[in-house]
Amino acid sequence: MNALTVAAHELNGKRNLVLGTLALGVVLLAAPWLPWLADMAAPDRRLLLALTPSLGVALALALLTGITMTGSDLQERRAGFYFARPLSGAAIFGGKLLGGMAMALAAAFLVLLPTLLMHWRPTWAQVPAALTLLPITALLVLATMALGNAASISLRCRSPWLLLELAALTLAGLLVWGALRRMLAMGSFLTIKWLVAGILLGVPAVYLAAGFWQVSRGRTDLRANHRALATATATLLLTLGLLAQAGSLWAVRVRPSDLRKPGLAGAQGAWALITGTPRWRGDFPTSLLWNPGKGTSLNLGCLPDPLEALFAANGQRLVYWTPNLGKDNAMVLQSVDLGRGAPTIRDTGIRLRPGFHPTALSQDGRRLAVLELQGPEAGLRVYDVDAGLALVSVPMAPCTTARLVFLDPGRVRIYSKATTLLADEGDIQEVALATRRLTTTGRLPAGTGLYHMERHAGLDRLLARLATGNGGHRLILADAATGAERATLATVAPGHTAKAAFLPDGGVALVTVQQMRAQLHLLDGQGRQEWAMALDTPPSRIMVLEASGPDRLLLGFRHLAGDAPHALEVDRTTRTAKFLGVFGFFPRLPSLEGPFQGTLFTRLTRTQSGPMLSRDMPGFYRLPMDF
Amino acid sequence: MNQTPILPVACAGLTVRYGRTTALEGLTLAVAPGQVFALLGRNGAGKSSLVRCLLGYQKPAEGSASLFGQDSWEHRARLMGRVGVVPEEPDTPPALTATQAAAFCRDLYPTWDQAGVTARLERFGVPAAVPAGSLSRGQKTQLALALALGPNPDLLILDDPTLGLDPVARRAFYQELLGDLADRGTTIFLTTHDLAGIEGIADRIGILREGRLIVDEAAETLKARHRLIRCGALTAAEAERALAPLAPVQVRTRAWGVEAVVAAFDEEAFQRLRLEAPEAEAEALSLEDLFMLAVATPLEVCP
Repeated sequence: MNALTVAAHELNGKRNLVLGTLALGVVLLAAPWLPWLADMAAPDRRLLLALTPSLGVALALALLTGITMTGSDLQERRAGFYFARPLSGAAIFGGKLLGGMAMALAAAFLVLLPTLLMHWRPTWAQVPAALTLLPITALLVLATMALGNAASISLRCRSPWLLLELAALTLAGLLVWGALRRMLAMGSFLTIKWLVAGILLGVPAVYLAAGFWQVSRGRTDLRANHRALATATATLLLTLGLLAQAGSLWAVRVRPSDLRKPGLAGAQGAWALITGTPRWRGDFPTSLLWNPGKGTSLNLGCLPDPLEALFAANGQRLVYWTPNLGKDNAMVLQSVDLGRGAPTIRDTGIRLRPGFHPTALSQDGRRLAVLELQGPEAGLRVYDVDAGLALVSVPMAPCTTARLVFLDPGRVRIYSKATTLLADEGDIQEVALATRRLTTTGRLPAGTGLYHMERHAGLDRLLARLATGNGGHRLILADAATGAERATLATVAPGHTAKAAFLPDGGVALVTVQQMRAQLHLLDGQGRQEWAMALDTPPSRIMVLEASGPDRLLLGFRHLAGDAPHALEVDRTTRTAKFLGVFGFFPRLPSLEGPFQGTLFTRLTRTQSGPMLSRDMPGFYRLPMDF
Repeated sequence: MNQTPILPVACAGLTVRYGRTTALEGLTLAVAPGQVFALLGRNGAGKSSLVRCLLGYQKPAEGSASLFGQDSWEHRARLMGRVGVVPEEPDTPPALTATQAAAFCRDLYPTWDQAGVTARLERFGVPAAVPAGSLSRGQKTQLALALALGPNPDLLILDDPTLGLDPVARRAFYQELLGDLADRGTTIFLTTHDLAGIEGIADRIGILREGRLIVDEAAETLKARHRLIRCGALTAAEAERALAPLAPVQVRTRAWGVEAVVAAFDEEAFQRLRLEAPEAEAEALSLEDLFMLAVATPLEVCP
């Protein structure tokens, strides 16, 4: 109540100044008659024209009030007028703040008023938007007043406490910058927005709180005011900096259980690469290396494309690209050694210009092959990942798309297409790294989609999908080195679907859906059918078809578009299928080693036997494969 | 049951330091209800520091300052509802007129006497519609006094209020003070250099020297025990011997004889002196004389 008395007193003392701003509002009505503002005559532009000086007046008055609200009284030794009354320090500062804010807002409104009366015909939809201006302006005014007051006290007093303020400001700035850098490195841009918003609100809040403390403790003495202000500011700014640090640490220290809708980007050895958006952290996508056997994890941050991360076949290494933000924007290769000890991220020093580059990692994870598709540097380059050095560079003719594979540490095979036309044939080439010799070993059949191919490393066979040109396609089994077709697995008419996948022994699983009939076929390594079984309901889309063990395969599909995906596991030896459940997202099977081998990690919404919640993974359901 | 009255003003071991400088050291003081306490001291003696502590403007380094039994620093806002303050430098915001200043204060005190304030301002001749910044020094002080008396305070703290006032304004100030407070029993704590002005007003005198309260005594007692004794026609040696029973604190040789100041005047001893020196005369000291004496030589250091 007393604060209101002080506020009313402040406002009353400057009422003439406030009323004077109405004159500025009237003058603004004439602004479009000025030659350089002639195009501002439209009503919406007039509003814009009036809003700018309105905000300017509010901020100028806020700054003026902030500078004088306590500083001038203290310097001229008049603060006793308030402190000799039954007024608390909070009531004095709060009242002056409130009065100053009311004055600034009233002045801003009066500048705007003539234009509003003459030219604004708001629709109902515009009113809420217009009303949001009020709290935003009020916040800006408050912030300006608080900062103006602090600056005024510091500059009027110029006591050694200023050094403390500056030191705290610098340290807090460094802490916040460190927090921002940490979150930038992790790619948590949405959380950065939170942090920046927190800082934008937090800094004025610090100076507001410090102002209250200053007046309450410093009272009528300028030096004591500065001491109280400086200590409060320093304490609060450092607290803010530490909070930013703690917040950023919390934001980037994501555990698998924090992920909402986790997905699997890849798995090898004991480690899985899972991705998702962590809860309560602004929903930034992040990728975690997770060892389900040990329950440990490592946050890799926001990878541009987690599916491009490469596991070494021996499970000892993961490599992935990150953008070198703010510098040359090059892509930087990061390596995580998974062999022994806690995995740590290492910058390999290998850099690529931004863009699409097909890559492959050798089985031992020591060599990385990168294809530059276009330009004068088009060709294959192979790097030593440990040393971060280019080992071999082999020029090649430019191509539009390609896939690479290490046949062994000394040979790389390249499947490429010179044009973007699906109907064109592609090349199959091999580079011997010792001799740097490029040899063409075969041709990819016309219509082959490079990203609809699957290679069986042991048999060096390809499963390929060939577009037939009429909207349908063929699934074929081919020789991976020459591209020679060994067998046609299925011919799929337009509007129908089929999917094939290798089994570990080189056999092939094939699902075909034609004329509302769905069938699962098991074929041998030559494409000959071993047996087939009909599926109860034809799936509208097959999402997953892959081996889940030496004699098992997993089938993930939707019955109808928009349905939750269903999972089915087929035992090849007993020729039986088992319905696993309905999944909340696309299930993928990690080819994990260790105690969790053969375990499907997913978020089941329903199962026949009921889900089991893993103790160390809250939010995940562990479905045991009991065969 | 014997109930101890709550003291309007009390300090216990009050110490104030500014860096390495000690402004007040271990000051202990109590002012009884209804008393007019005048605190005297040279510039820099610590008077303003004491007032600042009493008003809760400053936190003491050690000890406490309390008003009405409550710590001034902790309970300042509440205590100020019972206290009127006239500062050394008038601090009414310069843009405020007397009317506006009174209107502001009126909303803060439930006991505000607007009619009394208006009447006082009229008596002082303070224009109601002129901003305080344009008033004379005397008018500003009178405005401050009017505002201080507005809420009918139980305690009035005046920090050298007549500093810079001309004799007429000074007299008017004290007359107003006396006239207004005659029947009200308001306690007054006053610091001043205007010794003549408070002569006859102050019930109790305190004298500060270098941060220590060296005198704290009822004005009547202080005056009664101090005498200036003039002995004509005596040599310095004779006077010293004759005055010895009166234990003079100061002896000065003049052309006409010797004059001495005694701090514990004893009528019987004086009569014996007169037997030896019939022309000896004893006269009371003015407050100014006592002050000069105190700041020159310590009369008595308070415990």
